[in-house]
Amino acid sequence: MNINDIKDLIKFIKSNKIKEFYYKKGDEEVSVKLSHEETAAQDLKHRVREKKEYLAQIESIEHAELTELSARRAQTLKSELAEPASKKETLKEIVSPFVGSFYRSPSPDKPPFVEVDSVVEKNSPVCIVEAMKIMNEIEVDIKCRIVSILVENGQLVEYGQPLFLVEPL
Amino acid sequence: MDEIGLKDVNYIDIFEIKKNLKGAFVGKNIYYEEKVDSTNTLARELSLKGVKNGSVVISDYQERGRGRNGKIWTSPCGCNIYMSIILKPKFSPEVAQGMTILAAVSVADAIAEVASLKPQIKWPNDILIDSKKVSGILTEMSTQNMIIEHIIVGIGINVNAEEKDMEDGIKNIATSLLIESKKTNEFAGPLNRNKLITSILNKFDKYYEMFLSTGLSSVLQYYQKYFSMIGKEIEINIRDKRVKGQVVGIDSKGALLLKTGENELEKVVSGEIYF
Repeated sequence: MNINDIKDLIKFIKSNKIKEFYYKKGDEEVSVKLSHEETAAQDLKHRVREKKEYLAQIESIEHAELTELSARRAQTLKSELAEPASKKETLKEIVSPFVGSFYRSPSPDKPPFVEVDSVVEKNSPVCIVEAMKIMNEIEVDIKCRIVSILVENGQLVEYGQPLFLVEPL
Repeated sequence: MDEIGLKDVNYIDIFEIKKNLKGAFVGKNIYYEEKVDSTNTLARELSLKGVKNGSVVISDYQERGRGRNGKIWTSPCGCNIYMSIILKPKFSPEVAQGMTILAAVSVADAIAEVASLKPQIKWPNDILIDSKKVSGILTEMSTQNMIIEHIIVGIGINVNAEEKDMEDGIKNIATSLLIESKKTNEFAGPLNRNKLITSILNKFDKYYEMFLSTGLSSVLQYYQKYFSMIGKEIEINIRDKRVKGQVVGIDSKGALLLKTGENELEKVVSGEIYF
């Protein structure tokens, strides 16, 4: 048996998934023991373990990053929104009691009743809504601060339309 | 008109007015001041002090009589009517828009009855005679949380003013009951303001009861008698826009219905009208 015969033999053994082969003729003796599958399996297990560790590592990193991100975002949201959010819950809308024209001042030559940030005492007027020549002075029933004015002077407003956002004081 | 003549025939007599009131509540309490800033301002102050629903404020002179959008209503001679009715109703602010209609038809009725003239109503509540303004009504309301605190119906009528009493700027657009009476009877004398006030308060009481029991549509039937704008081409300022159209009527809430195009109808609740 020359070397080429041995190569062919190994090829044959491999292709037929033979684990162990022993040949003896006279003083020729060939023993082939294939351990590649086990090796491959071990290799695979190793690679799987590595992969798992890798994934775990990634997961761990991602988790850490996400945790950090979440924490950072939460912190940001908290710092940016915490105060307005708590205020927002207590803000109050002043709405129009009917369809009409919204006026910010008692007459065109007078200054507006209120501006943004004005502090308004209880029972004080903040605007006029006019319809059918009824001049409706809308008063606040609490002391409050004007946070925003939601409509323009002279604008036609609908029933129930918010006109102001106020912060009770 | 001298002061003696004015006092003799034409001073405001609260007892005389109250004696002839027929209604259930309007005018049961009357507050008279010879001279005030404006009857609406005094009425507001009295309302805040807790005067009763239906109380009335009357004055001979207003130093700061107000019209819509802060326009000045001149109150020169101690010969006209300046009064305000204080209402403290339980209905919603939206419904309160009907007070404009009530006030206009009450004044028109009283002028027709006491002065025997033919008043016309320019929407929503100017009273005209021969196309000139003889009465203006300014209704002011205070609300909190969609609840009415009070309504002040301010009524100004040029009763016995003569042309010399009027400022030059308004002579061509304003008139008085006396001026108009003299057009048909040159000997017509000053009108009795007490009778006119009594009549207005009685009419207002009647229409207010009608409004509460059957709604605005009943009152609008009386309003239509004086409403002279049907078919007229008008211009109206709505916000910053001037809209042209033909008046086709009044809806059940008193809004002006304006035909602005072939198939276009505009419902107007707010705006300044120009003929």
